[in-house]
Amino acid sequence: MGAAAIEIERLGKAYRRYASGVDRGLELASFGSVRRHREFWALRGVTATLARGEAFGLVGGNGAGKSTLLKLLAGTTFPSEGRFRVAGRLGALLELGAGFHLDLSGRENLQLAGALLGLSRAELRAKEGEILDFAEIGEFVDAPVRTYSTGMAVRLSFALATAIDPDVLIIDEVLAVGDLYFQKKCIDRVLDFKRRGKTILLCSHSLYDVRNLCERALWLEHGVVRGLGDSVSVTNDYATFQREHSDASLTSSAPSTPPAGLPRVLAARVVRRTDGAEVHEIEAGESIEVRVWWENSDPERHALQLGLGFLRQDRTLVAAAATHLDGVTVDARSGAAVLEFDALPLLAGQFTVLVVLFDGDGVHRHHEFTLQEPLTVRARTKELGLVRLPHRWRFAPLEAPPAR
Amino acid sequence: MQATREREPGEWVEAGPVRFVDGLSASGRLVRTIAARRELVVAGVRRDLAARFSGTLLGRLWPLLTPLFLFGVYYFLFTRIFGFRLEGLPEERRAALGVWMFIGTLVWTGFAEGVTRASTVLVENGTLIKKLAFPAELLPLQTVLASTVTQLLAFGVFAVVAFGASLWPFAGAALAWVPAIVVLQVLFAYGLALCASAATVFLRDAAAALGLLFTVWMFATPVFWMPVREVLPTIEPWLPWIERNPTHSLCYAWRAVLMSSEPALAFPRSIDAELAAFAPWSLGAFVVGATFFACVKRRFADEV
Repeated sequence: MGAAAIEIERLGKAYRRYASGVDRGLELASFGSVRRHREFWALRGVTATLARGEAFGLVGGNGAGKSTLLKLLAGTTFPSEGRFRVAGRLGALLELGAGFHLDLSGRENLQLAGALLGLSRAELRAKEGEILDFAEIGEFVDAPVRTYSTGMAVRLSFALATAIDPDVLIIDEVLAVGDLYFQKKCIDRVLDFKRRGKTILLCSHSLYDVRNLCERALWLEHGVVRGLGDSVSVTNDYATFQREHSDASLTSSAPSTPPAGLPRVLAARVVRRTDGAEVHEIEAGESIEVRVWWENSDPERHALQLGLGFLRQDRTLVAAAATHLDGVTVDARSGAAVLEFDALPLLAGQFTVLVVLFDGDGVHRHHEFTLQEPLTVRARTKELGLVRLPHRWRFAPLEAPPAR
Repeated sequence: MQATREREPGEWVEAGPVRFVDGLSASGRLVRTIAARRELVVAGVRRDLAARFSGTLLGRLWPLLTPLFLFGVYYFLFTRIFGFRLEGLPEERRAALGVWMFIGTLVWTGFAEGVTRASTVLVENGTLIKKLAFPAELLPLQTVLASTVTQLLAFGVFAVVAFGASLWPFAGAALAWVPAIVVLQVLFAYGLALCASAATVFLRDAAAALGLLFTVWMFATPVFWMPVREVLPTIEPWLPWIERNPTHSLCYAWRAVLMSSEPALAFPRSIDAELAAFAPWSLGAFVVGATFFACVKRRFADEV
């Protein structure tokens, strides 16, 4: 082993854009000496090495250059800069079964693809049964691919790409398509590839899949590398970036200010207990406190309860604490409340911190105050979910099935 | 499902356009690619031929019926109805002009149809190139071969009818030239098809311009006329130019074989002389086509 499966050196791809057909004609007629196009770099300066037997993830937003990179590696388009090489036979699954010739039947497509891959007719015939078994397309095998459902086309192309037993398998977002049963089948096959020491390059929007299946990952943004390293930290960074950019409008909305004379939150911040510094990003399991400055000009008229919650992006309340629930009374005209959390059990993600001033019954809300900056929690582990539940495992011998 | 486009495992794929000097070795590489992918070529030709007559009742009979009918028309037109007769032609050669035009038509169609259809073949099969990484150079070859096969089938019909029914003397030993003529014709047509198909990828106007060019070219080639002073007295000053046309030699080579170089006055040159004139054109077209294609093919996937 040891040798690299894929080596990529300063790889770049520029597409030419012409303002009009006349520009294109001029440039062609002059054999390129008159330049009438603008270049658009879909990918630039990408350098990476994938070790043999490694599962490697590729993440990034739309238009980040992921598909361009995969297309280059698969050989459907050629680089404008740099170079790369792939050791061994390559199987690629791009664009969800779109690689089929729609007018040909499934069987003819298999033959065509087999011939393209250099399989002899005998080899292909030997594999045909296995491919069709896996794809489960039944009698549709002799119908034109045009008549297939998306699921069927994906199944067939997945079956074919993996049946040729490539040394390097490139997968672009296919695991997300198809029913759960087939997804499981695909993942099992990918895992089987991994076990057999094959190299896998997986491009996915599912950070969960990337973390789970891949050891390392590459994060592309606007065609350049933003992160390269172990899959957990790269997906963490990417998730942070994604939230900051997708949520800019949501978090900057000013907190609704209550009319004068009513209880209000003046400020609130999250502080790390170890050094007392204000933080917006913490590691899972760190100890923090939330400090809330509030005032209540007329404590006799308006009884006050203080609540604090961590919300997910979709406004799901993940965890909360409130004075009336904890049996604490708040009766001063103003003050600073400190809510301490030892080893905050939130897992990786971004959480909106919401402070609420309730009336005495904890029903009516005087003021909802959202912290300007959401709290980003980074996890160094592959633990799943929103929170870490305290837990332990025990094992006992099986005695009798539990009685009904 | 994707296949990688002709590269060896572990080989560096470098950026940058293919330089002209690299393109020069393209002819050799192209021959090797075709040899390695011959199953793909054969399958493609078969599909092309099948697709032309798919959905018809007579199906595979059509490639045989069409030339049979065509031959009948030419034969009767030129032996029974039209009074055109070459002076001093014996009675059993009176079909000469009909046979002459029939063969000329088939050769021209076999050649021109292959090239003109090939000019759009890359654009039409864009998905194959983009998504399947199909070796693009095989597509124009499939088209050229398909029309050559149609042409050969037609000649087969001609041989059975004309020789079998003694409408024309049996060609005999001259038939041994056929493989050589076929190879040279395919090389010539393929070379032009490579240029035409690649040019159309970048400028769709190329295909339309090619249609016009081929119409002019057809009339400049003795397909429907006989470049002989006795038949066309005004042709004399043009003859040196007309004879330099490669398709002139191609049509003549086929006719010399199938018509046994009769009537003698229409065949001033021998078969080997015609082929010697045609061979440089044929090889030249192939080398130029292969070089041009190799220089630009990396951009196909971005342009089709």
